[in-house]
Amino acid sequence: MGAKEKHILKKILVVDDEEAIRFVFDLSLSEAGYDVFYAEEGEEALKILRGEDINVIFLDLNLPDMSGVELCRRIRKMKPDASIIAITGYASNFEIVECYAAGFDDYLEKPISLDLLLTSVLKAFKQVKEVAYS
Amino acid sequence: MGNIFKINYLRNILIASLALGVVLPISVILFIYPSFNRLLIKDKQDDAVSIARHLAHSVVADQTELSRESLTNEIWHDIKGPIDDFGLKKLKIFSKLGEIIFSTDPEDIGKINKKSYFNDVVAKGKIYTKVVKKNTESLENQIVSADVVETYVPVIKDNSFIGAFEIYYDITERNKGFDKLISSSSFVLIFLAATLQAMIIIVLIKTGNNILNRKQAEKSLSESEERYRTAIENSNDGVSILKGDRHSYVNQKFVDIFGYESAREIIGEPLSKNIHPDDLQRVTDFALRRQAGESVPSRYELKGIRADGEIVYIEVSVAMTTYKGEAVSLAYLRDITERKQAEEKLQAVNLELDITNQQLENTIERANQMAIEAEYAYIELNQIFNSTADGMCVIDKNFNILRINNTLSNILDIKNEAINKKCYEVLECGICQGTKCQLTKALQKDKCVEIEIEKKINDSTMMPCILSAKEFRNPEGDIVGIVVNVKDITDRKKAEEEKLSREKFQGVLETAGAVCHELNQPLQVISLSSGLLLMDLAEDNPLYANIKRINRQVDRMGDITGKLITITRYETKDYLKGKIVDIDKASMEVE
Repeated sequence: MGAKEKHILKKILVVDDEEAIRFVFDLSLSEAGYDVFYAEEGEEALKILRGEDINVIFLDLNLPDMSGVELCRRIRKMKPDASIIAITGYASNFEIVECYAAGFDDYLEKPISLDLLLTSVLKAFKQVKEVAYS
Repeated sequence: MGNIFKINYLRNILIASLALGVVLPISVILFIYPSFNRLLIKDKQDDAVSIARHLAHSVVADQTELSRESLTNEIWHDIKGPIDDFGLKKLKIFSKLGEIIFSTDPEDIGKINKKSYFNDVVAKGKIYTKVVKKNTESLENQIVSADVVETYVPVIKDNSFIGAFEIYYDITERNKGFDKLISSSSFVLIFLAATLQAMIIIVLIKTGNNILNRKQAEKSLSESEERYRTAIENSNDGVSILKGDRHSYVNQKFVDIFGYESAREIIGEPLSKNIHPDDLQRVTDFALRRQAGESVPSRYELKGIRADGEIVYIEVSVAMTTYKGEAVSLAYLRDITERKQAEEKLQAVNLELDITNQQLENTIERANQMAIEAEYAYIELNQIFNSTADGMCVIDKNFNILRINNTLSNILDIKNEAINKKCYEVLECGICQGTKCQLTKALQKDKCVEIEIEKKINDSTMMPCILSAKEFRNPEGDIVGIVVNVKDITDRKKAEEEKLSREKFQGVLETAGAVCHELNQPLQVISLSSGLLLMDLAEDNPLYANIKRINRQVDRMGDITGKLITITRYETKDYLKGKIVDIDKASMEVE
């Protein structure tokens, strides 16, 4: 595995407006060996993505400046091959459908266990890798 | 033939011709023939005189009177010669006393003529002649054997009668010839006369007929002219004869129409005198072109001007004719001013009538339309009345049901038996005939009254409904009854309950959502944090079990919030003295 490849498979962006959530996500993913970037709101997330080659992104659907769905659409335009996972404390079936329509690859309901989180990350990076080498 | 007698001069001609036809032969017989005869006799008389004078020379000589003795043989011989030469039938010589002293018939000698004519005429020196027909007596009463002219010629010497000659000329043959000639001539003459007479009669007849026909024609013409003249003069229409563009004749009516005193004021005047400038050019053009033989309208109307300047409307009928040998226009004029005015009035009246008729038609049409619309409206209203979802009935002021629609009939399960029944017997609102009776209030108030009631429709079912009542007025505005509307609000009630239930459910969902969202956030932190702690602790660590317990309860709380998110219906369970949402049932999928 090359440095770039290792690099690609390590970076994760977590976007959530609640600091405690960002902290535990950061802690959980860092302990697992990932490089975690985090943003409090959508514009900040986009700015990070413009500067960093990050292809796994966890988005909270309820952000202060824009909805997670809108952010997903914009990220999808920037990074068509990225793996974007929605995380939310509450969403109806309609919103779930909207998420997939907006371009989310997966959807996780809080509270997400550590095992589930790490499993989702692995799955996301596997998807990214498959796309990179396709 | 009779026509001849009708015409005086023809009759006279006929009479004259007949007279001539009669007179001519008669004249021939009575005058010409006798004249010829007299002429002949005169001729013979003259001959006799000549002979007598000739003989006198010999016989008289120197004698102073004639006697037998004076007639010598020599004289006898001298006499015989002329007798033969002249072809005398007989010759006698008389003495002045009337004695026959010589005669070619010796038997006569010595006889004496004592006739008066001898003494009164001959002896007076006058010649006396007589024509004696054959076998008739002569002047001397002797039967003659031939037609003779017996002439006595006195011998006068020294103004004294000395004797006379009597000469007999035989004119038998001459008479025969003369008679034959006369007969022939007469026959021819008579034939010619008759022929001429016949021709004259024929001509007269024809002439008479022609004359009579002509007279008849003239009379007819005259009568016709007279009639026409009378007709024209007394015509109710004006008549004018135009030569060129000027009047050469107008009748009295024309004068009257245009208000003049007499025809003299118009005759010779141009058309412009009587015709309004508006029509002058047209009418003048018509007249001139008509007289030139062109085809122009023969009937038209024009505007005329009376003597006083007033306008008069004229209807003109014009024809070409000849008058005194010249082509002229013969115009008949009728004053149609009154008619025009009447027409205008009539037109105005007709227009008004048309307008009125149109208005009437429109009104009738509207009325018909309204009737149709009313009928349609009735049908429509009846259909609406009977098809409306609400029960309706009409009640009179005495609370008798007058009409009831199908909906109410179905609700109450009655139909025609409700008609004329009291409303409180049929509707049974539960508030009937009391102070709460809405129908009574409707009669009293000028507004709709409404109340929600429950109507018992069978032994077990109560139907919630709204009963509204409004006074019903006739076209004059008087209250004649009440219109009652019974609205079944069962479905509405049910809908309201359902809505309330949905609202409750919505509240539950929203609350659940809020709870989920808010709880999940800290639960997430706890979950990952406890998870991280478990990763760092060995299982035999005394803290491991407690943290594990924490982790499991977080998962359990996550399940609970997960169920809250998936609530699909409103389900409750008893809790103490009230009810709480049964999360399990509410989130369970309906089988």
